[in-house]
Amino acid sequence: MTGTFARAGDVQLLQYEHGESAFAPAPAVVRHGYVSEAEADLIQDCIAGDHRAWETLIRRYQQRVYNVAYHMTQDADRANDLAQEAFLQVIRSLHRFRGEASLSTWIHGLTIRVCLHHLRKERRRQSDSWEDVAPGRPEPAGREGRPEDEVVRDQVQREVRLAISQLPLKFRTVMVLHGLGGMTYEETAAALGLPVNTVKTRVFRAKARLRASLQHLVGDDLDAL
Amino acid sequence: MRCESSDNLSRYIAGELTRRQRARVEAHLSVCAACRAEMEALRRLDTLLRAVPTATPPADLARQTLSRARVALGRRERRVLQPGRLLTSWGTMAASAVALCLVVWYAASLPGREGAPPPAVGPTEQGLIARAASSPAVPGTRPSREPAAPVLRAMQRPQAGRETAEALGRHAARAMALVPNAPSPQMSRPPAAASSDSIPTGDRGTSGQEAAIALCRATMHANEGDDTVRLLALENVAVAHAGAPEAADALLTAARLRAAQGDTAAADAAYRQVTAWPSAPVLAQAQAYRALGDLRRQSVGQDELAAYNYRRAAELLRGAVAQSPEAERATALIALGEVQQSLGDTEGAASAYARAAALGGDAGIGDETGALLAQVL
Repeated sequence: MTGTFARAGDVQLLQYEHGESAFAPAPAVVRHGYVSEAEADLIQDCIAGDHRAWETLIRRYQQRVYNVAYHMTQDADRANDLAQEAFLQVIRSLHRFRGEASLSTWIHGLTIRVCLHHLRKERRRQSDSWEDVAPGRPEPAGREGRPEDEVVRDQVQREVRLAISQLPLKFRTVMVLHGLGGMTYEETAAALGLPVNTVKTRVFRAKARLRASLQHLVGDDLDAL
Repeated sequence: MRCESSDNLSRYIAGELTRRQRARVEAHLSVCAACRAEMEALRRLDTLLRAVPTATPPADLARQTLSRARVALGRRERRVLQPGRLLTSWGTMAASAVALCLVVWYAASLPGREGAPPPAVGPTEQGLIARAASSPAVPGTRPSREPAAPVLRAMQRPQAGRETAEALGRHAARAMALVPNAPSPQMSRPPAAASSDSIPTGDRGTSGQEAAIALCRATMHANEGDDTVRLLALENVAVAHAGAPEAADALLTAARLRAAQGDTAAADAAYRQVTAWPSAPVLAQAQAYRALGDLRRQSVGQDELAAYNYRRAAELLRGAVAQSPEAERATALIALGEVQQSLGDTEGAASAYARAAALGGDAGIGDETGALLAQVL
């Protein structure tokens, strides 16, 4: 993230160079990477322990936080738990938010860290106990009574998500934020605390892996999708 | 010619190659059908990735998260005074406990009673202190501000923690004299000796004032310079006067004490409460924003949030300057000058001080600000 806050006395909005882009349409106060005074107020109200502010914050970002958690785990129940845990961490840590990235980017980064912590812990546990990886509960497909092309499209999307979930964590994180979340390289780098070039390299390598694992899809005619 | 890697082709699609690298890739693509197919596959992959829909969170995610947050962060929540729902059952118990402690402390500190059994505290005094914990539990109850304000001002004086109990007593006595239809109490005598008619026990409208005075009385008899007791009394006064301007002033002072004690989280919460209190005087809100700015500035990397708070303070003070009667305008101007200084706007600060001086409000201007003023005069 190369943007900086406006100097004191400048116009009210604090603008970043790079636009906001996340999973869901961003709310007005942060659209296009702005941190408005209303958002600064919200942050401070949250720090002060105002429950209404907590709720506003959660409702504003729940779609994106849940989406990150879901794509990291491919499991709706775990994503729900992790999204809640991420919000708790957000509320606890907001006083450390320094405006070096947009609030959205910061929340994405924290959500990813919560997910990574959970996934690594789970991997260690499985490694210790030689358990098989329990299949997660996917989002309900609801394919009954739908046209065939929709069913095919769902199946393809399921395979893409599965391929992403099988990437090593360092590639999965960048694909979830950049490839699926639509975050820029700079935002992804800011969220993960990595150099931008590292993020780019990981994105391209992740795509090379996905391209190989999805050969049967990307080599076919996709007009029907 | 050597074929391009998938990695390189992805960079090409993303426009991440230099002009020279791009020309090289394009030259290769023009002669290599395999790499063209590979590039097409990567483009299809991008299409697939863009087509993955967002996952929809459960409808009750926010509610579940809030429930967890209330449990996990409950201790933090209780520190925040919420106008309109100040006295929860927990708050009532806590305030009552504090009031009881104050009574015991007061009793133990009476002069000439060492070794003697604690003096009996008159029912009126007990009743008043108990009412401090419960008087404005009814939302919308707003005790009149006049009699209590001097008491609060006395308690809020920055040096009060170092003042003697007698000095505080004088302030409180002056405050008591302002209570309508009440005989002037002898605040220098032990409160236990105060007869039940020395303190008005009037209707609910005055109970908040009385509660504040009773708490002030208990406080002033506590150990000299004990900020902890003073802090508790102030926070109780804020509770007792919920919704009234005095509550914001008391809370502001309590927040400053908290900050001085190093409890910045509690101070932060209290300052935020003052800024959000609809009935808080504009000057108190501005002071709270300024204090928040000072807190943020002390934290590494929060300069912009600090500036934001200073700007909010300046904004409020400019409004106060425009709307205040002339007698209070100088105060607002001096405060505005201080905020401008915090913002690094020396010229604006000097201008504010000069306007304050022109109104005759230069008495509160210190050396540094006086020097600034000298620059513009």
